[in-house]
Amino acid sequence: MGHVQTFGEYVRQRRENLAESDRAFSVRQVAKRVGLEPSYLSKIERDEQPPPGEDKICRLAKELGDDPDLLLAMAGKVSTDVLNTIRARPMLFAELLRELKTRPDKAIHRLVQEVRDGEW
Amino acid sequence: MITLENNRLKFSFPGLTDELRQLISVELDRVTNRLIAEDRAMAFNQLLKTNHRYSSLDDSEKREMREALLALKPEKLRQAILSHSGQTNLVDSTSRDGFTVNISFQRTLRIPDDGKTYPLPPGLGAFPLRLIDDNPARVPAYWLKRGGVMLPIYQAEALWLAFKTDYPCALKVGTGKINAISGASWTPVLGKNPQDYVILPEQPWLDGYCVKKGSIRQFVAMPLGEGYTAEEQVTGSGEHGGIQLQIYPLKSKLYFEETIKPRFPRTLADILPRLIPPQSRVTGAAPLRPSPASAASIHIDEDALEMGLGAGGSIRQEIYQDGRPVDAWDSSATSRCFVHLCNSAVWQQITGQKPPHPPFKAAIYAKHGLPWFDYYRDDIGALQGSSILKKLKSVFHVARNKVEPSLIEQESVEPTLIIQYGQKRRPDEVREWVE
Repeated sequence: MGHVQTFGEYVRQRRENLAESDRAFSVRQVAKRVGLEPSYLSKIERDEQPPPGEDKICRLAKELGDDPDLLLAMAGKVSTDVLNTIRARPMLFAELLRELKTRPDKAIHRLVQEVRDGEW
Repeated sequence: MITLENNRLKFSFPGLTDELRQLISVELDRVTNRLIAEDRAMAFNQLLKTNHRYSSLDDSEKREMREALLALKPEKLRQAILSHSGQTNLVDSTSRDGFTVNISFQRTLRIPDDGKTYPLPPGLGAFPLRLIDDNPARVPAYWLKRGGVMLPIYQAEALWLAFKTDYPCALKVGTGKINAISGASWTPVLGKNPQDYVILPEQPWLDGYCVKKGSIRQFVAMPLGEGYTAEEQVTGSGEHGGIQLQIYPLKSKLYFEETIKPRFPRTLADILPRLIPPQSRVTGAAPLRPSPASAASIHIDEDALEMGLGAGGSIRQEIYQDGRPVDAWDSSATSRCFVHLCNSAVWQQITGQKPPHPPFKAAIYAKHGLPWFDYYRDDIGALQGSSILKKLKSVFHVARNKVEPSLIEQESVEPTLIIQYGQKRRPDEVREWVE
């Protein structure tokens, strides 16, 4: 099994990619916009500190143009609204997730009922 | 993002909701810092003088309250300010849905096209909606390319659009890519001169084409290619059909300034009863929260499949003027959807499900004295109507030339019971549509 990218590695790579074309993505500036100390963000990126809380992860995802659910999952967290949904009916949702884990993405998209916009 | 829930299109704006949370958070810090610095002892003395619920308390209760107020921590003050501003749910919730707009398509009577202007007909339940992606093998490739949703509709059946939202939005509605408000060809930007969109939540429903001030021509579904539809009459060809929707939410900063910021307390006195309630047993009832919504190879004759909308009888309905400048609407947060109108006869072949029954005839409905509706607001101006749409020939007129008896049946009716709605009652509780 190959190396699984950690939360810190992923954030650092994404930020550095963006910083290549825009200096606003320096550790200092991103940390400021997200509401973290630059040294703390730097440690998070080096995996010397665990990922921050849900709110900061969501802000970080927005800064980096990522889906918050993706970053939360990489940080081993689940957003509060999803957690509350599961807590309301834990057995049912555990069963549902086990049932869905091998289904193709397309089948899961149909379940979410997201309306796709095409060309017209 | 658009999702399909219970036969409604749900438009949500996660980015915009995040922006609002940020704005609220900054304002919350600002107001908390300002109020915590106020002279609390003086504010409490003032409260004792002006509010009899406090002045009648005994001395020990007053002392207890004064001490609680003097020891007030910024976090408690912050929660009280948030609660006062009514934004607790938005800020505490990390749900990314935030504000939403729900749009459904309502089945209804076809109004006689007899020169009379009728009140608004009732809602007879929402049309079923299905994702185009649900049946990729059974819909034409060009439907798949457009994406969106489809609904089943009978020839000459009418429909109206119902809107429900808690956030101001501008909505463009096209039929066959002809704008239903201005009559112009579809463009992805909002036009103000003439206005080519409806404003939500002021406009609760849209029943047809905006032809003149205070009056619309009902949306009636007809097959493409026979000259009935607005698209064919304006452009000369029936290329697109269906209904097109594009929504633009109000810019978050404006919504914040207009609606949220004024709800923040100006002084500590505004929220003292919330911080130190006179009787601890007096608590607000928890708001009721609605339960979450419980949501082969077949030859399809593509020519018979697709429907467009044409103009039917006249109905009294105003299309409201937008009082804001056009750049108040956030074009970076826009989303759009193509709604395919699928001939009911082939709906079952595509979805495997029966389409709804054809609706009642207007004459039968009226004969039983069932209600019609009127909605009127005198606080907003109405649009004059489109000179292009005014020239549309009605489906009845076109059918008469083709001698199609099913459409020529146009018995006039006399609505006897008209339920009047206006600003005083919320329009989303009326017209008796079945969810």
